Amino acid sequence: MIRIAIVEDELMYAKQLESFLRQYEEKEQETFEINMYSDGDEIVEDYKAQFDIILLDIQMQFMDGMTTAEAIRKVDTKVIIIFITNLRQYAIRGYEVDALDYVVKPISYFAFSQRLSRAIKRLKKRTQHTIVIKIRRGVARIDAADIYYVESQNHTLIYHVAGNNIESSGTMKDAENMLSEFNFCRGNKGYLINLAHVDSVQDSFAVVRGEKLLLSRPRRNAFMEALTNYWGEIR
Amino acid sequence: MDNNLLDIPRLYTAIAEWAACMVYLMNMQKRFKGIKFCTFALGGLIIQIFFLTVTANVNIIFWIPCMMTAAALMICFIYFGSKGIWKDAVYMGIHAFVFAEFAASFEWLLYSFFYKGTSPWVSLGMMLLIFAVLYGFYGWLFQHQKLTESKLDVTFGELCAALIIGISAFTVSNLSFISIETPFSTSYQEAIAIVRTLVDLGGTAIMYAYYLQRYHFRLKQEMAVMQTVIQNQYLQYQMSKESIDIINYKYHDLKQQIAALRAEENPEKRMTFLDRMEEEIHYYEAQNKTGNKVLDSVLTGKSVICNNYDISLNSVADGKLLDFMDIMDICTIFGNALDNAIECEKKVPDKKKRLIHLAVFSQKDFLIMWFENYFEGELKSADGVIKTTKTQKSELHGYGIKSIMHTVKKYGGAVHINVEDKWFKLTILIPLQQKKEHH
Repeated sequence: MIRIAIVEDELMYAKQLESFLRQYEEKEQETFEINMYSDGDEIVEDYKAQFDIILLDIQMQFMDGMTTAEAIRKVDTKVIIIFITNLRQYAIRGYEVDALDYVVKPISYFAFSQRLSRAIKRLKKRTQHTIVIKIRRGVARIDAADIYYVESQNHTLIYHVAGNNIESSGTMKDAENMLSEFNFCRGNKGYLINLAHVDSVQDSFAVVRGEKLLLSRPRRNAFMEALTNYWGEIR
Repeated sequence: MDNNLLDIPRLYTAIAEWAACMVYLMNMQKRFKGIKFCTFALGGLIIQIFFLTVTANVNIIFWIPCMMTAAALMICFIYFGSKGIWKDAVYMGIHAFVFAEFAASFEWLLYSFFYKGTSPWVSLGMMLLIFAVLYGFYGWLFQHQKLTESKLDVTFGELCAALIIGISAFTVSNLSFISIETPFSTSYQEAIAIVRTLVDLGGTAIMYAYYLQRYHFRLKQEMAVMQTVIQNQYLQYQMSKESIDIINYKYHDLKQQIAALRAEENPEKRMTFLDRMEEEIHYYEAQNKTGNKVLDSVLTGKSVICNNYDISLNSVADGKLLDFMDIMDICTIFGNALDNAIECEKKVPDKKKRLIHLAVFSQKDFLIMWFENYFEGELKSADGVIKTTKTQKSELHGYGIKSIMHTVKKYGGAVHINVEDKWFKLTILIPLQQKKEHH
């Protein structure tokens, strides 16, 4: 079941969105739990990350969509936000609050269903992937998404994870095979970088969570391509 | 002088021919991979050795047909090993044949000069060493210049030129070998061996030069086509810029008229009507205000086309992010990407499904552009170049996309194309330069 919130102050559009969702449920064999809010302040009050997808109108009377999204993001970084707007100029700021998508009014079922199925697909991809790595005293379990990058030194692999480094034995090839599905890419011989944590690329460096990692010349192109692929297909 | 000087062991010739083919195959798109390719290569080597050793002692009359068959075997080896076309394989095969002739005779000349003993191991060792150096250099020449493309698309004329060079080199180098009754022949073994080596070297050099020239010519041609594509988008931009200026001018005109109308005493209803009218005009004016004038013009121009074909173009673009880019580059990227999308949408029968989404935004220190469009059925661009089954992704470039890639590369970025459900998506990522304070 997918939990969806509709935040829309115009009753007509709110009703339309709800009927579109019901239509989608029937056609695509999904089940939705739908909650309706008529203004931004209603959903923000007592928000506990209880939704998977939020359809959010941008222009509302008491609390507009952007402010609402900002407030929601403070509590919940994972929920998928889709903006509903009649002026697409307003949607541009949506990327600042990491909104996945936007739908422009007047809304047609076809356009809406296309964007919705994209969102549902992303949602289903987001499950956790725990990987197991051998450490000196047993094993460690970490979520692949939490790894910033893997560093290889002699025969030691150092997993740079939020806040600490985990040392393990093994070769870069092993790590590469294990993490192949999770959007990792080699920056040079010694680094395997999680593309989700690449903050910027400057000259021959990738900045990963504040750390500058060298991109070797022959790998730079492939790295940029992998990064573009990540931003195109995964996000 | 011993009689050996002209009798290159057939085994060596076979290895030389096979290695020459391998140099080309390594640089081409191969039909097989991994173990399969190794098996295929080994098979080729065995066939070549078998054929040449079996025919080693045939009558001199059959010598030329035998050599031709050897060359044909090489061509087949290249053809079946690569994903190429016959013409390409023949072209490469002639190259390989002439080079192999040179390599074999050069090696044998060196060997006969430096070694007078009879140990077959020394002979074998020298052969391997000299071949390794020769073929290493030959392979490096091609790889270093990044010459071999996956497809050469050799024309008939080019093939003829290569054939003439190849046949001339082969004939002249072997003239004395076949008959000493011509004005250019000699019966001195040393002379024959030296002439053969030098003529084959000449042949190889000419062919390489021809190859190089042809390659650079193609490159130039491609650049010229790309330049026209870019120029076209720029012209379109200028045209739409002019028409937008006119619209803006009219807009101000109209605004004046409304102001004048309002100054007169009018019923309240009319007043509200006028208000609404103004609001509507304002909406049109604001349609393509992204913060970047070039992008505004391109978008307006393209949305006129979209309107004509009932395509709904949704764009969410922060144009200010594009300020660091050249006008030409913005035209190239957006013009071509949208043209491709529009071409694709025209073919969607249901007009309600003609959708294009465009997003330009920044996240982290990246400028990201998304061009998405819905499509049905086989995906092909106007010039028929875009074929997107997933495996062909890497070679799906029309000149439009090629020029986008070329442009994006200037800014250190990359382009990615994918198909998800029924949506075609072009992603462009360009790293934004960090502010100076970080340095």
